Amino acid sequence: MMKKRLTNLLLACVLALSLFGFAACSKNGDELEDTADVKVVKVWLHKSEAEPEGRIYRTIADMFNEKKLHTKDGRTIMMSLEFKNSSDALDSSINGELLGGGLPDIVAVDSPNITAYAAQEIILPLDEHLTDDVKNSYVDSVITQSTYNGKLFALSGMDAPGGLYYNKELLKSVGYTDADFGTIENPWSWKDVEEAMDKLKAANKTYKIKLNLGFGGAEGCMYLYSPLIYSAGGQFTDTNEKAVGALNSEASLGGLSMLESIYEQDSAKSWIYNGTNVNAFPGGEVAFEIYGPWLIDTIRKDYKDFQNKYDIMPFPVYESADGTKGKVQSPCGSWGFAVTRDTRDAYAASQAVAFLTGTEASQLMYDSIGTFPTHKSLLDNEENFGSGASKSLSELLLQTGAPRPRIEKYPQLTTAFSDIVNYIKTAAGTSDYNLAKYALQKAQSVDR
Amino acid sequence: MEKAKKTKSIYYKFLGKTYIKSDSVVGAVFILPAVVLGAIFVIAPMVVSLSYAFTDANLLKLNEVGWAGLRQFKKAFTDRFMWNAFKNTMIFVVKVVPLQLLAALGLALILNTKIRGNTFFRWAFFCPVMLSLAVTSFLWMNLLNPEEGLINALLKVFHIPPQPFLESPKQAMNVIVVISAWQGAGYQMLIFLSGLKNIPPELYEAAGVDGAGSGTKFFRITLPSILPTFSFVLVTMLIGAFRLMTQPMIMTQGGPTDSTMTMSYYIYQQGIKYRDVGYSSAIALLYTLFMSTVALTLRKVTDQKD
Repeated sequence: MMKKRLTNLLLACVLALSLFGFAACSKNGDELEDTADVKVVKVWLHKSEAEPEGRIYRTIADMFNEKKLHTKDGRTIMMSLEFKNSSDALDSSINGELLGGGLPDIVAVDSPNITAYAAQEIILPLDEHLTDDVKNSYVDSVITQSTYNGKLFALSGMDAPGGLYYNKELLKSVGYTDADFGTIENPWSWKDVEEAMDKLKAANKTYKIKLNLGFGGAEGCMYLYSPLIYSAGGQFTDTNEKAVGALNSEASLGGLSMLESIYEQDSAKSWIYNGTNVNAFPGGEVAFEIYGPWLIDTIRKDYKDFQNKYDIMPFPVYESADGTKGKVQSPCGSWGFAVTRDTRDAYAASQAVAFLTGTEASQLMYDSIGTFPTHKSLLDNEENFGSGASKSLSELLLQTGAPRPRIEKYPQLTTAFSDIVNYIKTAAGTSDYNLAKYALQKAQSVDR
Repeated sequence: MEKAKKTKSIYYKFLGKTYIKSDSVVGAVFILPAVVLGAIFVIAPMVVSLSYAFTDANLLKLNEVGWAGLRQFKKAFTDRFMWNAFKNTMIFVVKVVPLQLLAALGLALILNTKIRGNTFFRWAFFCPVMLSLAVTSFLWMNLLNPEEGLINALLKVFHIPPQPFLESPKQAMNVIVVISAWQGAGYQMLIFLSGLKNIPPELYEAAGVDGAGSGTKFFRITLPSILPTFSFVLVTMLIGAFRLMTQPMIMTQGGPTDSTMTMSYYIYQQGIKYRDVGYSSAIALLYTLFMSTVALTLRKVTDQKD
């Protein structure tokens, strides 16, 4: 009897110790604390340390801590990272701390969310803590997407310009020359893309386009396809942030009709690639792909033979019935960092944000995960951005980057837009298809 | 006298019944963790949610919550997207409950016989239950890929044209129904199986002597004997079906064309993604009332049959 009790007690102790052990191990962050000489700046990230991007943040934090920057009262600033593993988990953590006042000094924030956070004073302006030189170093799209009511609320060390990847070699084989390919001054419209696919198909060549409509869920859809609306002169909301009358306006519907045209003809022409191969473009399964910068890095590392066979042209523009083309607008934007209202030292936190998104961090990100740097000086680098697809994308970012809409109801808007695009994908060409009606319903759902 | 005094100190009366004090203390200590955890994680959130339903609470502005009265409820009744989500959920429930119920009962009946490999089949049928919903959702997404999925490759062998499955507004919900039934049936199968094992074999033997066939035995002995189990499975399955969210969230994000948007997903979307906690709570409250009514009614009907 005694022996049994002892065994049970022992088992209970082991269980309790295991639970404590798991609890101790499950914290995904540093354990740094403030002291008389050290000011710890806590950062919440949307990534896991197991991911390449997460590992880069760790390297950046180590670099920052080695620099031993100081607060205004002379304490050493140390950066402490907490990996929340996903954007949803980060959102939940932020939401959970809004009432309790337990936000960290810095949070990662996706560019379209900056407006909502700034409007609710969850994040603080950075202007007074950063010099003009620091701010002027960033490309305009970063400053534009991070500015609310004339104040700068966040900074980003990476950007993701997007465009139309095209297989130069294939297109040249059916008569195209370098002069024919789309440029910022003389872009291709969606009709030009359709024409090229027809020519390739007629010549029995690879002709399909990978549209990546499922990339990144609703947010990915907004990121890649917001230029459809902008290029046609449309808007997502009016000046009062109302979607009805803007999202379903004639211009916006005109922009969407470009995608509609591709899908309507797809059943007969089989233009669209629906497979799952993420490397279908460098793998030779498709002739075109609408995507961000990440493929450049993949091709550079894994498809060296393909390096000189492709390039990137601007996101296809709108073309009206009379042949008038819209202006080039390029997908862009990425995650950045902002100082929260609960920070215990806004100056120290701002210095940390500047470092997390500075030239060294930006270059590291580019080298390891292929996102584009956000500093003009880095984009001027001839070695990295002087030729080929990288040059094309950097020009697109600098000259035509079109940040996503910045409104408080952005989550509703991005879902509505994604629903509209997916409606085109699944219903275009069917008997009960009515884009104008559906777009109006979705616009109403945003304004409700 | 001393003994009577001692007895009085050991026992106490509560609501007309007599209890032993020490037993009650031990009992209270045992249920205390459950009561505390339940109060923190179940009762408190319900109370908070209930109170938010009458406000304009926004997740980003929880320190500026204003009284909204019944405004959120009125908004819900005129929200066509909510009604669409409700309709989709009902379609799902009506399709999945009979399918899953029959599948679970059928599998249980098969495993209740002395077939070879009984243990293996029991494990195999229960396997999907052990897998995470997220994992199986991703697995099915790959299988159902219109261009490269295994299912379309199999259909091609039988000269059936490739199907869009999750990309078709007409097929997506049906696909989710089948996947959900496949994933959930194993659990209910085990419950049915335990019910079937409790039926005394003598009943079947006696019925056999009286000349009853398989059908008669099933409808006259098996079904009435497992009716309490049947009732339990039906109610829990129904509540589970009403709460469908993971599969559409992962596989279709409520699309295509809102065809797989369910009530639970809609409530989540409004509250978490759009941060409109007040509205989300109002819909949740209405939906909870609806579900409770259905479940209680069903319980009452099946109890009467018991």
